[in-house]
Amino acid sequence: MSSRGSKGWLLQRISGALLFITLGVHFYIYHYFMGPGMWGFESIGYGANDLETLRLMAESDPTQARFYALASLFAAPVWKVFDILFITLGCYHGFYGIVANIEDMVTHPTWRPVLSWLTYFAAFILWVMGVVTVISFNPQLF
Amino acid sequence: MYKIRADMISWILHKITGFAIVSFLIFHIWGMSQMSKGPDAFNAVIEAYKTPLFKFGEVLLLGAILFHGLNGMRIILGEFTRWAMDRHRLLLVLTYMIAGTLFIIGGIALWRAE
Amino acid sequence: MQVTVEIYRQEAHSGASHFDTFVREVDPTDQILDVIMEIKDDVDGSLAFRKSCAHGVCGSDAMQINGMNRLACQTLIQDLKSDRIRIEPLKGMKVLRDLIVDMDPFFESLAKVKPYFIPKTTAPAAERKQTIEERARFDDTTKCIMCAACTTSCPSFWSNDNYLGPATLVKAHRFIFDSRDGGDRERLEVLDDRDGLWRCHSIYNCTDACPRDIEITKAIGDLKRYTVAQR
Repeated sequence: MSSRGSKGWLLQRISGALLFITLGVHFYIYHYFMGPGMWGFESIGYGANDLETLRLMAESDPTQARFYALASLFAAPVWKVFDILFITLGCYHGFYGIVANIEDMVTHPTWRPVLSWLTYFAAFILWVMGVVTVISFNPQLF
Repeated sequence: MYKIRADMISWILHKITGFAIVSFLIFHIWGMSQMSKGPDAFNAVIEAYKTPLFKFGEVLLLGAILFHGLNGMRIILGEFTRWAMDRHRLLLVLTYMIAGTLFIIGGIALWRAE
Repeated sequence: MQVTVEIYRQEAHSGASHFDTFVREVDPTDQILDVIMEIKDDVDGSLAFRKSCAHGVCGSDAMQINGMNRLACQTLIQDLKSDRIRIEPLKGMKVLRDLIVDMDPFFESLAKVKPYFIPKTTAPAAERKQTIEERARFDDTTKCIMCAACTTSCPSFWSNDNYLGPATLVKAHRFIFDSRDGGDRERLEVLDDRDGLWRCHSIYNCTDACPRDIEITKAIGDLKRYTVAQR
């Protein structure tokens, strides 16, 4: 794979367009559709048994309803896949954007690659953090 | 001082909003990682979100995302089609107008939300 | 009408700079070039600037006039719609003296994309034929006079002077999209670089600045799509 810019340019546009869609879905599902106490997730991919457990948990402590509501989504495989895709796109697009800014402004032959690789490294750390959270999350632990 | 044109403002805004969104992404992924620690840690984060400072930040974030997303789509359209390039001024004005309108509507709703 | 002309001045050796102000009686249809030539003739013979044909063909008198890159010989007083005229050298280039900038890096950048015909086939007995459509594809970019107005209006160039710049990309477009030319591969090697095509962020300053009305951003868009498709 060439690292001379053409692939990066194209991928930045593809990831940007995909983020436009996935961010819309993410925002709608997590921050709008699923406010506290709205148990609408049967329709969007969560098993009934676990949902029942979560419902009981929320009923025993209503102040925790938001957590359990979110937890039920977070535990569903289809949303795990979606979230990993979303985190990957977000980390790639965001941090490549920073690399592009570095390349716009830094011409020093040493600093330019050093800063770029530090940025890629930071993106990788954040990506691992996000993906580990998504994969390891299990509401039955609480 | 070189004349600052509308396209140049959109380029600068695209950078600024991009940095803002990446900063938020870092913060957001960290916040979600608190979910793995159980309801108490998570609720502490949620409580912090409800303070006016964070709410103000949320409204700004909405504006940043609206502009960055719509302007990004305009850039993609403009680089891939000559049709959009012929109308780049119109599309730029539309981007500002749509982003601005959605920002006002969504920002008020977000500020009022519980 | 009376205009106030502010002109950037810089010493050749010390590099010290300031603005000189001249109040001049002019006609609205005078060229900016007329005005600064009269200042040089009548007021201050030490004022230094480049000019040659004075008819928008040679491309030697590009300068920043009221915040925009223009040719001094193509811009009339009435075009500026102001009685204050501020003239500065092209931005992002090393100033040698007053309005004269060092154009060497600009021409070195142009040379990188081999701005000359590289034949695809051995010479035929008669001329190399081309259809009207084939010719139309690069017609716009043949108009370039290499005045550097576009490159020095580009924010990407201001912050990174290793960037090839719009003028060089226009030259590349003129030859890459010529059906008779066979130098694509060599040129794409230069264009597909972190300081090549990809520093262009479609800001359109170049298109606005071009005195020949070349649609530069559009030409660069053609190159981006072509490069991505080829590599």
